[in-house]
This record gives sequence, C-alpha cells and structure tokens, in this order.
Amino acid sequence: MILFVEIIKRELNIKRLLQPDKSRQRNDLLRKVIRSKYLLILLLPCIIYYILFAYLPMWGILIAFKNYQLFAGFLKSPWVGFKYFKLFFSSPDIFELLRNTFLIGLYSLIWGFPFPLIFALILNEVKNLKFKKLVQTISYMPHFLSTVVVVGLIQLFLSPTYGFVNQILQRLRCGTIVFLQKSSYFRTIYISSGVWQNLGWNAIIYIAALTNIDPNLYEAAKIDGANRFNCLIYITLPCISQTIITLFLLSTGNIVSVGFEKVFLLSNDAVLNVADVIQTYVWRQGLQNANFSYGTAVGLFNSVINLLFLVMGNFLARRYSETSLW
Amino acid sequence: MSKKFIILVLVLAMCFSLTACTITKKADTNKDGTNENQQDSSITAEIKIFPKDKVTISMLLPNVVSWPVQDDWFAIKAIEEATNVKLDIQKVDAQGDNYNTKFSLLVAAGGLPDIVPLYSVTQGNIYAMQGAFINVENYMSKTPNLKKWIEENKDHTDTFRASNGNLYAYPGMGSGIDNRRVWFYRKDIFEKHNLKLPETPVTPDGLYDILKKLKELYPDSYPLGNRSHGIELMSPSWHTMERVYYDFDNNKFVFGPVEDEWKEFLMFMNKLIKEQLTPPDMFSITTTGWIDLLVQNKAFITVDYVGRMDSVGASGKEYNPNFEFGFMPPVNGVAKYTAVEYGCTLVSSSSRKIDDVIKLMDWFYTDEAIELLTWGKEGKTYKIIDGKKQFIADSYHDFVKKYGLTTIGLRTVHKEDVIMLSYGKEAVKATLESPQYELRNNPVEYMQLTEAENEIKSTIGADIGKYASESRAQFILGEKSFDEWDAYVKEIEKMGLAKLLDMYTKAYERYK
Repeated sequence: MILFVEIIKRELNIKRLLQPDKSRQRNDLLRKVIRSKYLLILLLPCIIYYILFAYLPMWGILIAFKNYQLFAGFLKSPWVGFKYFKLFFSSPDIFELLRNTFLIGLYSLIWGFPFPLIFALILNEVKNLKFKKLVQTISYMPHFLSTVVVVGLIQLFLSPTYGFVNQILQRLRCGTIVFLQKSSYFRTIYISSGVWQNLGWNAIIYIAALTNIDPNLYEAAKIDGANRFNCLIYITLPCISQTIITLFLLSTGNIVSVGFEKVFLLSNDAVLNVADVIQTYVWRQGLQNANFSYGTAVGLFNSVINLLFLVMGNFLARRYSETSLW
Repeated sequence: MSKKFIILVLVLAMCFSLTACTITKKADTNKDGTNENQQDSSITAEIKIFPKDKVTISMLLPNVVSWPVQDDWFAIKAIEEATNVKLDIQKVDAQGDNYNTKFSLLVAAGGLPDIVPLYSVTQGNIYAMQGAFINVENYMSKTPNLKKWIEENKDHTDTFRASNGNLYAYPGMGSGIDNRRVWFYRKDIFEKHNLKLPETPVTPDGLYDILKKLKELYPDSYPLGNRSHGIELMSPSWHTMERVYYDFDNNKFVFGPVEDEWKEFLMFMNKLIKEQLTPPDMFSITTTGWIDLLVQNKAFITVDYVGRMDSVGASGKEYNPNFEFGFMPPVNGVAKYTAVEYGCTLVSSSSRKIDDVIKLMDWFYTDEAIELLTWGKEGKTYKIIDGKKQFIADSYHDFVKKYGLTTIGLRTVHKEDVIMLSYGKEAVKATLESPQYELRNNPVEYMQLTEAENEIKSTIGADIGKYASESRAQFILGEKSFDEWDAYVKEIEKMGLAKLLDMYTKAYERYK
C-alpha cells in the first residue's frame, strides 16, 4: 500500500518535471512582468492611447461603404458599396491628382531623407561641445512653427514687390519672377521649405544613434591609418545603418499622405495643375455637402496605398539588408 | 526620499493640468438685479412673454475674439428682462473653424442647446433635413410676429430655405451691409493731380486711360491693385460671372467662363498685366501685401469690403494725413450683389420646451425687440445728440464689445443704421449709392440642391470650376495664348457642361 502511494508520488513528480511548459512558463512570465513592472506601467498610457484612438475607431471605416446619415448613426445608414470609390476614380483629373500627390510625396521622401542624415554626420564631427549643442537647438526650432507661419514667411520672401529674393534678382538684373504663381517652382518651394523646417528635428534620432558608436572602433581605425572619410564610410554608416533603414521605412509609410494645410495655403489658381492633391480635391468636394462618407473613402484609399508602399519597402529591406520592420 | 516626493508632485501636477481643459463654460446668468445695477431696473416696458414663471432656455453662443461674451452684457439682460426668460448660455470659442466643429460635434453626439445661432444656413440645413432642427413653418400659427415679418421679407427669407423647400432657420437680417464690397479709389491722389473719372460710371476703356495716367505719374506703382478675389468681384462689370449663373434676361443658366464677355474680361486683365498696371502676383498676394500696396502709394484703385475704406484709410493716414479713399461707381455701372446676410438661428428638435422657445423666437421679430437689440436703452447704451442717435462707446466695435448688442444669437434681425454710424463719410456714401448698381442676388448663390443634384455639382461642377480657374490664371498671366480659346471652351463642354446646366435648370423649376 505504502509502496503504491510512493510509486504514484514518484510518477507525479516525474510528470511535473516532464511538464516544464505550462506552469513553469507561466511562472517565468509572471516573474518577468513583475521584474519590469515599472517599464510596463510607463508603457500603459501609450497602449491605452493606441487602443482607444487608433484601433477602436477603425471600425468607423465602414462608413466609407455607407451613405452616412448623421442621425441614423453608423449601423443604420444605408449601404452603398463602392459608390464613393467609383465617384473618386471617375473624376477626369484623377490621374493628375494622383500624380501630383505621389510626386510631392516621393520628392519629399527623396529630398527630405538625406539632409537630416548629412546634417547629423557633419554635426557629429564638431569638437566644440557648446557650439554643437547650440547649433542643434537652433536647428530644430523651425519644427515648432505652425504651417501657417511658414507659408507666411514664404509669401513674404518670394513676393515680387517686396520679397528679398526678387530684390536680389533685380540687383543682378535678372528681372522679377513671381515664384508662387509658377507651376515649375511649386514643388521646389513646398519641399525645400519642408526640408528646412524638419531638418533639425529629424536629425535628432540620427545624432542620438551616432553617440552610441563605440569610440574604440574609431581609435582602432585611426591606428590602421584611416582618414576621416574612411571612418565615415566604414564605421559610422554601417553602425547606424539599422537606424537609417528603419526611419526610411517609416517614412515610406507616409508617402501618399500629403497634408492639406500647406498645399492649400501655398496654392492659387495659377498653380492648380501641380498643386491639387487628393486632400484638396476631397476638401473641394466635401465643401458642397458635409460628405463624411466620401472623405472616409478617400482616406481609406490613402491608407491602403501607404500600406502597400510600406510592405514593399519592408520586403526590399528584408531582401537586401539585415534590417527590416518585420 | 525628497527626490521621490518631488517626482510624485510633478507627476500629479501633469495629470491635473491634463484634466483642466474644458471647451464649454456655462455662463451663470442668474444675476438679475445685482448690487451695481439696482438703479436701472426695468430695461423695457412691460413686454413679458412669460408673465408667470421664469423660463430657462439654453443657447449656444460663439465667443468671438473681438467681442467675447460677457455674462452681464446689456443684450442678455435686456432679453431676460423683456421676456422673463433665463438664458442658459453655452459659450464656444469661435476662433477659426471651432464654432462649426463644435456645432457638428453637438449635433452628432447630442446635447444641443435649445437655440443655436449659425453663421451659415447651408450647414444647418443639412442637419435640419436629417431631423436635428424644427421646421419653423410647422409652428407658424403660434408665431404671428414672425409670420408678419416673413410676409414683408419673402425674398430674403427664401434664401434660408433647405433644398426640400422647408424653412428650418429663423432668418437673420442686418449685418449684410458689412459684407458689401465696392470699388474705391484714392481720392486725395486724384485731387492732387487733377485727375477725374471720365464719365460716371467709368467704362473699361476709361478705366484703362486712368490707369495709364496713374502709371505715368507713379512708375513704380500698379494702379489697379486687387487680391485674387478681385476677379469674381470685377467680372460683373463685363456682364459675366466666374461661375454658373442665372441669366435673367434670357431666362436660362449659363456658365460665365465660356462666354465671349468673359474672354473680353480676361483679355483686358491680360493687357493690364503686360503693361504692369496691376500687380503680377495678383493670384498669390496676401491681404497684408495688398494693404501695403495701398498704403505705400503702389495701388490706387481696388475693389474690397466697404469697411476697408475706413480701416486701410486709418493706416494710410498715419503716413499721409491727406490719405483718403473715395467711393467709385463700379465699372460699367454693374456690381455683384455682395451684401449677403448669412446668420440665422435654429431651434433644436430635441428641446424639451419647444413651445416656450418658439415664443421667444417670435418675440425677436417684434419691432420693440428689433429696436431694443440694436440700440439698447437711451441713456444707458446710446444718447441722442442733435436729434440723431449716437452710441455710448468709442466705435461700433467697442459698442458691440461693451453691450453685446447686434451679436449673432442675441438678435435675429437688427437695424443697419447702428453699423453705419461707425462708417466714415465715404463708406456711408458707398453703402447708400452702391445698391443702385448691384445685380439681383443670383439664385445660384442660395438655391438649395437635393443630394443627387449636389453630387453633380460636386463632381462635374467642381471639375469644370477647377479647369476654368486654372485656365483664367493662365490666360491672364499670358501662359496660355488666346488662340487656344476655342480648344478651352470645347474642353469644358466635353467635361459635361450641358449636364450641369440642365441640373440647375431643373432645380430652379422646383425651387420656383
């Protein structure tokens, strides 16, 4: 009898030992959570924010397929299927719109990407710490200016009557150019002012990544006879390549989301053929009737395009480098 | 220990600051008969709508930076005392588009006050047709004063109707004159150089001659200085419009930008640009840039809000004490009708006291109320000097700021003479003389369309409009030659112009 009990006890013990998965895993997980509880509490507001404001509202996307009536609410508004998408694509200017939006987004990406990086690399070479901090602080101040202020500055500088750019041109006898009314200058003005505004802010992450590079690598390279340029190519860039690729991928996720404000403020009748983007088009349509469904449909289209670009970018990144978002 | 304490205090402070933002404030207007105003009670005679118990009615009011809503505003007290109503006011910051946004939120989420004033009736009508607001005409039997007023102002009232023909908005009237845009010119410069407008009203050729003369006298200037909206305001002088409009002479809808008159207008503007008689950046110039041109003697003739004659004139006087604008009859004697009243008031259909609210709304249309809510009380808000009324304030702006009279919501109709009191001599002249040149308000501006019609307007209409806007800039700036005019007209017709005009014709039939 006692032997029987002993045998069963031993079997149970063996069973517990042979079952490391569930209970021990649960214990491990619990221990990990308790160990890093402060980090998780720090993360909690972010998680709540995203659940409340990003995931939960997602079900509102379905009004893109309905004719949303304010009083009927989400559920009772009638279904219209792809009506608003068809409406959007049947516009005669649709190719021009898509081209304008895509080009502005693409150029912003191509031009807006290298400059913060170059700026961070150059700033990293500066020895005087105070000067470095000063330049960095001044460089990210324009980021905080509102779009309206930046456009006001642009209009001030480029005015043919009192803008200083035209005054310089007049001194050089080049005649006056009304920049804001020429389609050929629109994209340049839009993108260069964007680059200027966000240069310092976008460089912050690069500067932070650069400080993480082990100085021993540089010393070892110098001993091996590397000059500054060699250090840059063989040490600095490879060390921050992960950061660069990640940030680049994140930017591709915004390629078609050309904001409404700046384009709207900078545009006028004379540049409509390059300045009309998807958002200004929808605003014009929506102005006639408070058409929530139409706006949502186009927004959904925007997001899908952005997602496609992001997936494509990630696929390429995974194929040709070790860094990718997933 | 102390470090942790400091951190805790900072975190708590951060949390409290996050919870401290509220958009709406409830004004406590239960202050009838406060200590300071014991002396002047009974603002009006015995007009009390609700003689027995005080009725509480809630109202949404926009809080405009120029005249923020004050709880002790004379206008509010006057309404309360005259009608025995307690106004429960919800103030909403009206900067930018905040008021419209808050309004949309309240409609969607519920919680609209009883009375909702709006700047634009179109937005209100959209929600009204979905059931948010009451149909004014359903209660017409209980609102005799409103009925009488509507009969006297039928055309004006019709502009507030929704596309299904119903009237959901209590029409406003009185601030339209501030919206009026007129032609004005630098009277002092003309007098200095002995220039005269050739025949009144001046023809385009006459205008061109004057501009040439001004350019000779001031080579650095651009004598005709307009902002981008100048195109819309000047085109009626050439008997056309920049959009679809109803041609009363031929009884049909036409699209301005394909007419020969429009081509002439564009050619005229193109000539002005080539000869530097108008600023080359007329499409991108900002308001401040345009004001600078006027003040610095770089522009002498323009079309803009009648109030600008005084405001820009005041800026100019700082540099040149003789600076003065004079009213100029529009070119060819034709001007667009611009003195439009947009403001209206709606009553929410979810209100629990509809019968009381409509009684209050009805009171707003009585002559006593109109007078009271325009001028206020003699001795308190205005006094009579030499038989003419003069407000007890520095200016009309100050008058509104102090007493809240004539603000949207605290009146439906008000008299126009109080606004004109603050106009300078020439602005008054403009207000009085301009109407004889103005076209009738075109139905296209206020005709309300059904959803299907709106779709045509927002697709074909918007696309044609965009192409026309693009092209007019290109023609005027010389980027497109006028040889391509026929191709441009054909392009517009291909875009579906006939269908658009057809839609408007059918909508107008229904409207009539």
